[in-house]
Amino acid sequence: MSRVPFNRRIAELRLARGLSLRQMAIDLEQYGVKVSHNAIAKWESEKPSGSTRLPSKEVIGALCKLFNVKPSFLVEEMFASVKSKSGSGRSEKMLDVELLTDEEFEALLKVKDLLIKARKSKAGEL
Amino acid sequence: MRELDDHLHVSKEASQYVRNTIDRIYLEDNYHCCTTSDFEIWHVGTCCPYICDCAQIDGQRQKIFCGDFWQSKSLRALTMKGNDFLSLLRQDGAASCVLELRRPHMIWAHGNAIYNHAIPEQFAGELVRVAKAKNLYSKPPVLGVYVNTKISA
Repeated sequence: MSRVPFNRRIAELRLARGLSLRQMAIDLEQYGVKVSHNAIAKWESEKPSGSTRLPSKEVIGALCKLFNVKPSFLVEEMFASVKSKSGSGRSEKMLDVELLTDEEFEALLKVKDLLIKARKSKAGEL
Repeated sequence: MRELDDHLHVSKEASQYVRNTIDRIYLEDNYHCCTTSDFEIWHVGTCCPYICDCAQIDGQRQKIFCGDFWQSKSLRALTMKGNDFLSLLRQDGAASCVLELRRPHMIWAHGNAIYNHAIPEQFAGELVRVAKAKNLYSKPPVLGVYVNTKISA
């Protein structure tokens, strides 16, 4: 999995949920964080240097709750020097599952269920 | 985003250790150690005050408290010389590095909060190697760092 900058990660998660900047600001309030839609737009924008600046720790915590992701998934660019050399584990490969829309996630579940069902019926034939 | 070369990769387990430690930091699994004029110092979990071991003290070099280390601008500057940690912290608002005291510690900083955790022995070698290659490694000219009244780091 490539290391995605924080700004792009937040934008991807927001769009996967179909949230506008304003709606995301409203949703964050329920996790104790008051920000404007302009502030979110700033998080999502890239600085001319190509780097991004992280919001506060409290905001990171609220974003994790809102998008149901782990903090390390949001800030992984900051520890880009640590990259797994062997193939990642299955759960690690699923870290970005929250980037899928609800429809895409349903489709993924259907494929998984079909594969498991097919294997079980194949085993039943033996 | 800094691209990596193959020789900088670490094991899946070491990578998972780093992720888990960062998750613990943001999920508030931290012990507040002290406050300096520039930083709030935290330890992940209860690692440093209770678990870190101590090597023999040779008496040749200085022993200081954890807060003293982060308080001292000159010591910090000396230790972080040739290390990109502080400049990355200023630029991005968060940064990480490996600080080798008695044992190598993973340092994670977000804003003015510095978190540290003693790297488990089995991952120390590879994380130190990567940190050195990425200019994110330091070894301060002190023998050990006290946390409260215990020499811990």
